[in-house]
Amino acid sequence: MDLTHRFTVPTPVEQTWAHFADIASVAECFPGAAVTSVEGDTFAGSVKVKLGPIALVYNGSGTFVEKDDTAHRFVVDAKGKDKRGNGTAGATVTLTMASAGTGTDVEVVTDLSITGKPAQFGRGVMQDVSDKLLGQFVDCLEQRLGGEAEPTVPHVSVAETPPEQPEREGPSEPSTPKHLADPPADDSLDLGATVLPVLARSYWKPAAGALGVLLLLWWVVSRSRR
Amino acid sequence: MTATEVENEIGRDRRRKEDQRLITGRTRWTDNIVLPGMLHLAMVRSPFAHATITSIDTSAAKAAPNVVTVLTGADFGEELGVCINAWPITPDQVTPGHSPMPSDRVAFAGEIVAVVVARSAAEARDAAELVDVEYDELPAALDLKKAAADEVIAHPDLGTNKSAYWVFDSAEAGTGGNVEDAIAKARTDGIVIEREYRQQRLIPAFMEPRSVVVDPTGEQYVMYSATQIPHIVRFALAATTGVPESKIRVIAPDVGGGFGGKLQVTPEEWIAWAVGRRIGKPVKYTETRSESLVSGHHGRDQWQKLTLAAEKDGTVTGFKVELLADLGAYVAIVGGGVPVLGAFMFNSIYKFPAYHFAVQTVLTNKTWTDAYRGAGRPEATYAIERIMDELAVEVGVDPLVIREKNWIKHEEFPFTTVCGLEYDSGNYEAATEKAKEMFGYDALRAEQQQRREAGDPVQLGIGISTFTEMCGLAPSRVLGSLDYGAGGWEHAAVRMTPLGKVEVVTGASAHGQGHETAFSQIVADRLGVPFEDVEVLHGDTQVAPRGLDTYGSRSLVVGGEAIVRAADKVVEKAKPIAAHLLEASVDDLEFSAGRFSVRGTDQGLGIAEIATAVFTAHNLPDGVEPTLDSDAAFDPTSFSFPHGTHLCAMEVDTETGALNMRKYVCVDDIGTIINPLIVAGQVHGGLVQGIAQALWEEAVYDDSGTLVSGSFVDYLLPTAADTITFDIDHTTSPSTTNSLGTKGVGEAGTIASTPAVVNAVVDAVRQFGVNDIQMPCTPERVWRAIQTGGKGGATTEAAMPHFDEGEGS
Repeated sequence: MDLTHRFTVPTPVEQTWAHFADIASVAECFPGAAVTSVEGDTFAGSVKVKLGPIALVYNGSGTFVEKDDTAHRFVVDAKGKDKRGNGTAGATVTLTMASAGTGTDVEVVTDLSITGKPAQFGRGVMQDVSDKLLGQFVDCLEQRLGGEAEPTVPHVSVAETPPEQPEREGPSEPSTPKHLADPPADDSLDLGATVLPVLARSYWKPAAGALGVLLLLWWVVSRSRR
Repeated sequence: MTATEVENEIGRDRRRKEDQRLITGRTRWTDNIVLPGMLHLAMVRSPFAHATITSIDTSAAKAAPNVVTVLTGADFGEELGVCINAWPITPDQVTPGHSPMPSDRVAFAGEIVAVVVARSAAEARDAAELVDVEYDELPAALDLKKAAADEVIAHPDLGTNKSAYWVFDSAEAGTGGNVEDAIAKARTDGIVIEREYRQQRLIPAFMEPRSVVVDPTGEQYVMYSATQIPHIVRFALAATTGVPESKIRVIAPDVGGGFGGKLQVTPEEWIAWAVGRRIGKPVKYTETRSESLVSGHHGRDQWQKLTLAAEKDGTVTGFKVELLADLGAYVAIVGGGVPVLGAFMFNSIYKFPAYHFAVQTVLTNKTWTDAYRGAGRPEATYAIERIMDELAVEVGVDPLVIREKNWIKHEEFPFTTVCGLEYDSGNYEAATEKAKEMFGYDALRAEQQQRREAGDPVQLGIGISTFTEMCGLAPSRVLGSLDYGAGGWEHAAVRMTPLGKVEVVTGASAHGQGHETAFSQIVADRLGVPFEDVEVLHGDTQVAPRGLDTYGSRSLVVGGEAIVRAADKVVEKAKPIAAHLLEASVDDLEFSAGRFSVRGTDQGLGIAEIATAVFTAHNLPDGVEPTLDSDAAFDPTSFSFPHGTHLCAMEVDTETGALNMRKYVCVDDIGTIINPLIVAGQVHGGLVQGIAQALWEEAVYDDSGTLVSGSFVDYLLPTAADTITFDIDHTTSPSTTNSLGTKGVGEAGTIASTPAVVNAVVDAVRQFGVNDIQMPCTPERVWRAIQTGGKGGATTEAAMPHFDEGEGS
């Protein structure tokens, strides 16, 4: 069963759809992703992920395998291989738009498949990892479409209707968005932030216990010092 | 037979003499071995379950710091050898070629595709990540049942996943009636019980990861390996890599556990062997824990289809067993032999008139499976002990009553079973009586009843397992008749040193069992020398040139008997010499407590004195060789059949599915006990491993064939903290197949405990319409079973379970 995210943007469906002609800007919405080239319906790039001690750099390419301008639906198939032989990551993203009054309902259905080390080690963690990856992907799309809408969790629709940044508009200059030249400083997604809550959930009790012991020791020591 | 004045060593709870060095780690673990100029290996493994290798670029790895070379399967020819299957269970068995390092196609995630040789292990591992392998993914055969239907082929060139179909039928064998007739009759006027049980995939998870050091610099090539089977490894190296046996020395130094997981000829050993020979330098490979979980062979993984026919009163008239066994990607050294080892045990301790067993072994794109503690017998015991409980429910009597009605009475031994095996000794009544008493059986049954009536949210269940097993592998003739590739004898030598110390050489190869202590106790009694004066030498094909190693609870019952016979020969050799020195007739001599004495006189000589006299050889009778050293090779005429009654009380919180083990009692009959402390250790460890299958452990693959329980975070290995204090005791009916009367105990606990626990869990929730819960019985499964009256669902084979919502059956 695929993972589904929904959100609403205030721009009309045609305008929103036009935005997605800019392949790169869509692809870049994948956390830690950098698009290196775009040719027609195909783009190449890399995604960096840190999973605890495992640093993964997925190099790969994506293709718009399906693009229906009338039904406002496209399917992107992206597949990457870790450059250190730790396996592959593949994602099939199906995005559909439907007009909702003045705005647009956007649905992103993603089927993520990961092989190799991260899958082997992260049985519990992978769930949070993929949620985080997709959550950020959707937030990013949402922001770009909805302008300054603060990063929100999926399912929350954006109220305001700020105009879109002009340089992002239309298919006129799609293939090289500005920040391809200078990618964000930390372009890798560190999942420490993702894993910690998981660990915390599992280990807070022993941790608290240990803390208690430490405090007790400190108390004993400080008393004995007197 | 043994010393009379001094206390007998046999039966003493000696502390294990080897533990000091083993526990502190200041010993010869393979990974501790460092040789001059030794290089280190790291393996490059496939992340895919099934893929063709399109290209391997090793240039970046070769350029990495301190990397000596990087080799792939294509760089080797014949000298790489193959990993052998020693037990083709049928003449037409379909067996895929098993290269240690395939160059064209990988058949499971974790298979080795390249090896990096570097000056340090860390540098080798870093460089391994720089090897760039291009794969073309192929569809992977993962699910056992789908694979059996040949939906996806694990090895396309073979055209099928079905490896071998092996059958035993009591009617054909002339050892019993026709099971189909029995079932047909039972359908009309009796009881027919049909069940399907799942034996989940398990990982041996020995404490010491596998490690191998190859030293090609001497006249002989030397391999140090953390293996259970140095002699078999030597044989297989010679047979497959073209190096003469005489040029091969295999040493299993101290080995930290195996449980069958080191009963293997591994790709890692073969690759280290080939690399060492290729570069002419010593090399070492030690696996990481995650590599161990992925590439060390797994165990169990079967579907068991069972049909039990009985009369209305619960007398069993026939039992039909149909197995699907997952071999994984290759047919391992024992491979399909594992279910066959269980084939003769499904009738267990019972007098079944008709029996039919059939197993279909199946190839998949998962880690290959092989022997794991119990090997076939835990599966058999689980099936029969679970279904006997079902029969009891059907008849409406206590499960112990159903068992007693069908089991072999103590006065009926020796008893030839429906499988044609002769059980030499046993007393099921005695063991069961003792267990019931220790357990407080009737009181707990009463409490269970009371809790049911009161509708207590925490219900009590009582599980029973009256097991037997065939161990002490094995009569060579029997193994031969089953097409096993080797024999089952064991060899020993006893040597007297000039100063009267004793060196015992055994072909058994200990990896934690305590052989050095137990064998010393046996020899100390036999020769009447102090326990401390006995040294046990093993695990080196140069020190112990002949042997068949340690597995199948064979070391004591087979290897121990060889030692006894060698020791007796020493006494026989010493006798004429003693007579000569004492100027007495041989007939007037008697040997006891290590002393030859002349009847009716106070004259005598200790065996140590005779050893010295033999060393100087100044005054020996004419024509007598100046040596007392003796050899013996023992081939048992039959297996040994330990048995026991295990009782388990489980508390189940019906609101949460949480499980709590309340009490566990086992009374095992393992014949004569050499060292009660070692036996207790074996039983405790065995119980925990069996309980772990029932409650915790399972190797899980996702839908792309990645082992997602690939670390101890996800593969739930129990610790002492997870278990309770077991009440263990014994009854004794000595085995008649060896002179000490011993029976194997190494696997007993594991074989018996799994059904006892699951029977208890099911017994606790049966009133909710539950008659089976798939192992491991996790709280979630138990809860779901209670809610639905089902099996609690199968394991979701997804790395990211929430993607599969709704699919979980």
